[in-house]
Amino acid sequence: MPRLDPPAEFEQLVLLAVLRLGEGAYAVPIRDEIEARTGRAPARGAVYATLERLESKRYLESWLGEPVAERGGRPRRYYRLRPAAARALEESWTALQRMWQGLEPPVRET
Amino acid sequence: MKPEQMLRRFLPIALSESVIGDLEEERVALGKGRAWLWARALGVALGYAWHLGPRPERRRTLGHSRGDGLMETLLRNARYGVRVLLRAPAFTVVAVLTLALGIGANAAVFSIVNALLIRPLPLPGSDRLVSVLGVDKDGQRQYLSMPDFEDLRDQARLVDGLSGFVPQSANLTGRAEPQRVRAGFVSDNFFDVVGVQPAIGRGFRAGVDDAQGAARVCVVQHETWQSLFGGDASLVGRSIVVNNEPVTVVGILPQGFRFPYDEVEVWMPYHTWPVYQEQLARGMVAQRTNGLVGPIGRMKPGVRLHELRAELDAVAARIAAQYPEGGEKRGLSVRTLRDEIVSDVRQAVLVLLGAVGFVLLIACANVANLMLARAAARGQELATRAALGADRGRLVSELLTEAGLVWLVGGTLGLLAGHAGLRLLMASAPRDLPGGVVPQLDLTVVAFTLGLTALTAIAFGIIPALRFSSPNVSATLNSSGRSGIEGGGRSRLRAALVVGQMALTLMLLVGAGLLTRSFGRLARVDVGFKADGLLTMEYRLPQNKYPEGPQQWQTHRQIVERVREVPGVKAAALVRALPFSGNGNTATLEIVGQAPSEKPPRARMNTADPAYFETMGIPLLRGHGFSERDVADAPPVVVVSQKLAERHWPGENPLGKQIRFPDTKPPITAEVIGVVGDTKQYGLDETDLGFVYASQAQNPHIFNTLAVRTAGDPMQLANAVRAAVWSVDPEQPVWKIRTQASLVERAKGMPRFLAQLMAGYAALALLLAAVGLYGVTSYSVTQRTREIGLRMALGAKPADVLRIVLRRGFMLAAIGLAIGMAGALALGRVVRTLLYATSPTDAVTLLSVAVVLLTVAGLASYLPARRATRVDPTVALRYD
Repeated sequence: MPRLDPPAEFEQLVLLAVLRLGEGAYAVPIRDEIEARTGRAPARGAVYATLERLESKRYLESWLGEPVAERGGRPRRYYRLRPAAARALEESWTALQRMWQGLEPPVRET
Repeated sequence: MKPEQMLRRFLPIALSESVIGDLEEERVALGKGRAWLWARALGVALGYAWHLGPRPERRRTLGHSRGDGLMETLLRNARYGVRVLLRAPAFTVVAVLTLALGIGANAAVFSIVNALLIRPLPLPGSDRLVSVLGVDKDGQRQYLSMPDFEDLRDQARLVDGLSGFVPQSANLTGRAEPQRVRAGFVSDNFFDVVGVQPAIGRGFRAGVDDAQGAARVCVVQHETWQSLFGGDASLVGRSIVVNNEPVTVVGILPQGFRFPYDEVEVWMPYHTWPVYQEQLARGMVAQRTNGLVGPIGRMKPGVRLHELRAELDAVAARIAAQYPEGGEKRGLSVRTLRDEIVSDVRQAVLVLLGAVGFVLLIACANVANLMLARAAARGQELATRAALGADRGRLVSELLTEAGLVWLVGGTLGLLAGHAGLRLLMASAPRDLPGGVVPQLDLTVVAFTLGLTALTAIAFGIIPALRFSSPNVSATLNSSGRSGIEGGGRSRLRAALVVGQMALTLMLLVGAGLLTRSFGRLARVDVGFKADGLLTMEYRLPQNKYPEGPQQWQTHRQIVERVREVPGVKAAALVRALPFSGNGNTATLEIVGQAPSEKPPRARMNTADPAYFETMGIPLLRGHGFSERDVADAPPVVVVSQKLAERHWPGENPLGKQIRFPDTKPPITAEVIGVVGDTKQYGLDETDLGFVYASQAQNPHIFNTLAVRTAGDPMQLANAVRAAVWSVDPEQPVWKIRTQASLVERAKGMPRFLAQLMAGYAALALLLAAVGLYGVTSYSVTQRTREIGLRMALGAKPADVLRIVLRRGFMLAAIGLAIGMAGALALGRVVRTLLYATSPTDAVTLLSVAVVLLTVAGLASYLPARRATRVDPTVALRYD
């Protein structure tokens, strides 16, 4: 299996949001979660594009839930992490931790 | 389209359903409406397209993406292009603004050209409508005589109809206030020829309505029906009073119809034209020297204008041979109706189109130059990608998308600028376009301008693409790796573009300079009278109310005497054709006591009352003006202008000399009693034919103009003067109430407007060309930083560096200047007709614009040159 590209920053935010939301992770709460924690509301289109990209990269898998009345009878598409995502997030966290060792924000130019 | 459908179209199907559900869920939760949904749906579609990256399975192939759909490729390229452009904001802003200015200027002017010269007139089959006039032996266009017109109408085979047409103002009375309306006196086939039929009622019946003695009828223009008669449907069949006679309204023309030749409000059968009736009464209608009608014709389908001309010329020659008494060398002038209407502005409009065309070319050259510079700057990136296997198609499509984006944004801004520019142009134009033409920024204009610029953007987007995607990338990699010696070919191309810009700019500067100089001279022309403080107005007595000359003169005299009593009036006078009013007449003269010349002299002919010269401030140079003694049965007298006196009696005393007027019936011989100063009649730039003034008492006429010198603001007295006219005849309309100063000012309007527009376009061109030269010089300084640093390290002084850089800039400007001068000289004849007392090769103009161009070129290259002198050799040698 070819090695996957490490997820980019926004992709990591989306993956972490899915991780935090657990079973109830679909686009609307994912966006809300990112906004609540980072203070920036990402564009809806960006969220959908990223979710789709992450799925095609095999970081996420998705399935349709039950039809919901207030959605006009349309089901929600839920997401959850696949093992590759968990690994990638861990690697990323470790790499960042190591790089930050002995440093702390604010960052001054040397 | 619903937002749902839009999303299904732009998103993958699997995704679109859940997106629609998500948005609907949020909408319900937030209590928002459809508008919210629409906005969010659009946002998602755009945002999705924007953020959709390349698919992972294609990610590592730098090469072709064969599997991608067109849409996907376009979107990806657009996204990449936008990022590249945003990373070079200076380039993007300059390129977009340059394009916007060029496109805007062109869209505005081309809209006018389109409306005037391309779009058909708003009449059915208008390209087949022609205007026919007679031409006398001197080439003067004039009305045809009635018998000539009838012969022509009966013998011409290539026209579907020839209708008489004469516009003249008429008096509409029997209402609260007497009113002037514009009347069109036409033959009974006029509406068939023009191709319009009344929307209500009927037109003129063939052989009935235009017969002498027929019941008086008229057809009313839709707008006039609305404005003067309140759109009352019962107007048809009712009687109105036109020129003091009851006339039955038989029809109302459809809404939107207007005859572009003249703003006619009421149409009447030709024979009811008062002048025709007067001539008929005097038995002069059958005379072939008596011009009475200006025909409008419709060519048969498929007939070309030159074929019609050939036929009508042959018919006219036959008529002239058969009836030589009408003038043996008389002929015809046949023009399309459109040419007739636009003839006096055509040249100016085409020159303007040429000017903005130049501006667009300069703008395109600038964008091309910028693109080439960008390509050079990105050479490393492109070459690397090419070397790593990115294929030509991919690179070309990316660069094209980039060029397309610049064009799209520039074009959109340009069209907005064009829309604004057109409104500004029309608002500041000294007068409306002829024929009531309303220019619009329509699809033709948009397609024309955008198409033109798209071509340039693509052409110059593709050159760098082809260059860097060629197999021989190693040369590029090597050369642009350090200090980038620009490829010779591209450098020459860029230099050529700058030279071209300079040349075009110089031509525009010359044009603007010539028009400005010409206007300066025109504005200083002495009109020969004191235009300030003069109120003027026109009126025409009804012929049937005042049929005899003495009655007419009596009424005029009463009117002017009442006007003199109005408080604030210092003097008042009568003149048949007021200077700069557009009215005027010429007459053939015979100088009694001199051998008749081959070509009998002609002069401007006017009639005035005794107070005219003093009221107008026209100086009396010799003898005296008219007096109360010059009455109808006294010997005829005339006053001549200085020019005319000098021409015909050089070195002699003109007083007491006699002039014979062979064309009046019967011929009159009059004695010269005075000489007055020269004046202008039609315009500031007219050639002085010389004037003969006859006494109004001896030559009464129904039409007259009041010239009133006032103590204060002339327009303040307008109502009082009009009331004075009505105190003589309460049914007498007066019109064209305006100041003499405004008439003279109006004559300056068009040349001033032209000069200002040209100056504006030339300034724009100069700015663009300066940006171009600056860009090229600046770029070459950047490219040569190492070389300059090396020279300085070896002992070159800043002055030497300055000289090296400046020399290149000046050289480009000088070559452009030389080419531009040659072009300007060649184009001189195009503007010649627009110039007054100024030669197209005016040395002062040519010299000063050359100085301006070189100064600006010097500045544009000095700025980067100065930067070059500040190069620090130690930094420069490390410069990459």
